[in-house]
Amino acid sequence: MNYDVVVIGAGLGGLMAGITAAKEGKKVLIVGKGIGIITIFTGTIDYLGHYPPEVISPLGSPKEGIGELIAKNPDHPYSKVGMKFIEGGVSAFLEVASSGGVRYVGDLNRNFLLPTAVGTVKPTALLSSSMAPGDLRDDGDVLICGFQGLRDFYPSYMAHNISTLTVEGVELPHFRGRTVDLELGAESSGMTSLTLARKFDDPDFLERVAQALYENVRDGERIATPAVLGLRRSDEVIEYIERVINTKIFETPTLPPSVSGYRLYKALEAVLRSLKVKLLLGYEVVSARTENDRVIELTISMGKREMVLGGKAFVLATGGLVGRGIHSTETSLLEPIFGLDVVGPKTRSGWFNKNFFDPAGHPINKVGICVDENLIPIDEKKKPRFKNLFVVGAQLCGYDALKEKSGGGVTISSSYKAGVLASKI
Amino acid sequence: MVIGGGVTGTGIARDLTLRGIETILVERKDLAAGATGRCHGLLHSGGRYAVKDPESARECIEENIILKKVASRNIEDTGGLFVRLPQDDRKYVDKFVTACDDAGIETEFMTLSEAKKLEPNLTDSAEEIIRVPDAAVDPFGLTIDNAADSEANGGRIMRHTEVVGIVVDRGRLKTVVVKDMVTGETHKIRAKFAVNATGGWAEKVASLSGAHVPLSLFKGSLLIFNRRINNRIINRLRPPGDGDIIVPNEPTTIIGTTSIQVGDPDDFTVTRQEVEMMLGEAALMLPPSEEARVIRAYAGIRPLLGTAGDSNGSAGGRDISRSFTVIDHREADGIEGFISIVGGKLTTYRLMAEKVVDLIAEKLGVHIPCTTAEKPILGSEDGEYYKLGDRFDKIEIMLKKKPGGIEEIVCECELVTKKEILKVIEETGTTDLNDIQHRTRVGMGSCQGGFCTYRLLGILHELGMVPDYEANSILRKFLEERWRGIRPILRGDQLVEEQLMEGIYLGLFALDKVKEGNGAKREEE
Repeated sequence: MNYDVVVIGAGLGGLMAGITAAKEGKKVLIVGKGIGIITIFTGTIDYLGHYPPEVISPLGSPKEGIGELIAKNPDHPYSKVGMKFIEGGVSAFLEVASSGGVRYVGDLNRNFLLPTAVGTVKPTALLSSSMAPGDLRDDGDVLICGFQGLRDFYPSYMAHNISTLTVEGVELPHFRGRTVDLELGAESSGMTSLTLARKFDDPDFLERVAQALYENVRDGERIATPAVLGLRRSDEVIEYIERVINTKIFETPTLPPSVSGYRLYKALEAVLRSLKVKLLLGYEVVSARTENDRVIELTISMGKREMVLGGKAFVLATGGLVGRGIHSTETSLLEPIFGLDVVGPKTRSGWFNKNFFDPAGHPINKVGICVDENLIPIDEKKKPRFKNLFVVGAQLCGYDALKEKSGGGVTISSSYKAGVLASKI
Repeated sequence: MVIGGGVTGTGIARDLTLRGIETILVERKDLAAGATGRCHGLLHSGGRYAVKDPESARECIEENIILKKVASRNIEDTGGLFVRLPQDDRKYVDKFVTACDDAGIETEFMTLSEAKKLEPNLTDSAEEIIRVPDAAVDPFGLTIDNAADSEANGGRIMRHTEVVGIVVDRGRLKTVVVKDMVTGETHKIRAKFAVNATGGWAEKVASLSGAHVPLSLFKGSLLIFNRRINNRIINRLRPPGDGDIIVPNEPTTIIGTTSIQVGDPDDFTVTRQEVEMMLGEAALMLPPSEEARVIRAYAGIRPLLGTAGDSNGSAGGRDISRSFTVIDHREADGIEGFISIVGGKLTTYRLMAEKVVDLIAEKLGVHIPCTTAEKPILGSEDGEYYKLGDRFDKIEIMLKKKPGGIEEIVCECELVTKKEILKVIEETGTTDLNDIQHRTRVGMGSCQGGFCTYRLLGILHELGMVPDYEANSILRKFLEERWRGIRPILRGDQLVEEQLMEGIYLGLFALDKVKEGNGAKREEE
């Protein structure tokens, strides 16, 4: 089967690249082993939370930070993508999310400052509208409400830690924690966020939650809950609750599985369907046929079933170590499909620092594939390996997403650019 | 007064109380926090020492038989195999069997096909296989049960209490000064006798009184695999060396050890070289171990009396006897009432305790004989061995009893329930994560506490047992400690899992961006 663009990897980057190319009118196929880490983490899109990366204070404006970063660090993925595509990616993502049914808000001029479930501060640029009223600079004290039986959220723990925070130039509101017992019975003890979120489909349940929240909230307070307010249609759930409680409510992400990440995935999937992009899940790429500096076709398999996919352009979005786009052995790091050069310390003795919380981060978290300004992988001599292959997201080298809090932003920016460029081949 | 809450110290406390002697035990951290909790969990048959150290071998087999009777619930009666590979000296086999006969250790030759029926993962190149009565023992449970038995007989156990001074007056022990590690307060405790059962720290503790205990410290490093590869203890049939014992432990497998001389008993760092060496050795006897996931590396300190014959450590102190010594500091340093117990091993802890208590009883004029060789330890009265799966059976029982049927699981890797955790907190009053871990196995599985530690802190916080502003500081400290155990073994799948954990603690929780005043400052102080 032949396509204009074949995307390998069905995580956030793969879906965004596929959608972008499809919007350019291309025939697109996305093949993925799984759906990546999109439903594991928060669903917020952090562009740049801290700069330089080791700084503890949150960055006010991601745009200013990225501008400075591009000027100083030509090897960072943002420098390869360039400000034009970074900004283009923001608009494209906001539009895609909204057309898929989840509303995202924010821009590059100002980071939101969100409280985390352990009471620390997380700066992020784009986020689901269900989280936006949680900004620490907004007026209104906060009642943090947990739900009896949910084992991954502890309201008082969060509240107490927030009360010890100091954020420069911000007078923090008062937080208090409370666990609401919805009398769900013994079978609900030890629920995950996903199980609880599903219950919001039931109108009676929703009414009970709204009532319980109303009984606990005081005048002038906002309410924070774990991110469980509906597996789908969270906008409607929130609208209903806000009408009852007569104040704002917002979600705080907690341990995986992530309901907010799941909603984002479902939204992107809906957009793919409307654009008639083919999504093949559960398939692994077993080999790639290349000729000189071009990728010709891929052989993919699921169990005994094999398929050959031809394409004019290919996007590699298989993730970093955790997404298994990069493999590690005792003495090497490798990219398993095309054998691209993985840049970083070759042996494990150089991978880790002595302390887990080393402010500089661990070198292993910066390893990845080196690309040129067109996101085409290059070798040690900076020569392009394959002129119709684009690499995006966590697989790129030269940045520490965990320290900078830039993972989502790099993925959206690079996959948007890759989608645009792949469409021109 | 017993100083040290390892298996030896608690064993002494139990023996003392059984003989009607008023007893208090103090421990700097939690029970089994030193070498006891950092060992192999092997109840030796004595085979390992039979050729070179017959006295230790005899002690081991006698104690092996006794402990299987009196401490049954902490023992999984796995049995053990000694395996000779082609590269090992053939002549050692005869010496081994003869020495085992002399020591009273039963041996039985097996064919490879017989052995493979028991241990399918055993290498096909094994040339000789000998069965011995080794067993697996839970050192945490054994220590905790000894302590509980002592308490049930009127003894006192003070955990998180460090000895900071020993006052000697006119050649006699007068008081011991202890510091409460939680409140920081110090107290004086008067005792007629103090027993120094502090393992690798014996030299430091003895020096508080001016007494001298010359120790050589050897670090023994071990690795834990995330699953059982073998169901019996597998030993290499050769003179004792590195990485040649593989012990099944609960749902995991432990391989060890190394033996490297160190200066500091708090030096627990495991090097990558040790990891690679042990993985290589394990794969020789059990080839599938090469593919198995290593979830943690840890090390304990073997304190051996005297100075090593070879200070370069090439023999790794393996030429020093593994027998033990009771030092009466009246004779050695002119301090009546102060006794140190050094050397020995987990398998012989009961005998060590008996000898110490015999000495004290004689000095006190107490004529009640030792009964620990016959009387089961609290909890082991029915004489039933632990079987893999017993703990899970208990959870199942709870499941059936509970209306609605679901017990809240806090740790998915080891299936630890919230109820079990609350019980430990209620019974011990502890808020220390390690204390809870040792008693429940929470956080000891594949993810090494990545998910459940946050839950555990949340639960403790709800109970009002975490000082408000320290939850994140405790979490950070736990993650640093965890890092120490996993950094040497990260690669492949385990590295992927670790990246997921970093995603949670740095990405989702932003715990790396904690400002002063939010726990971080206290931590520095």
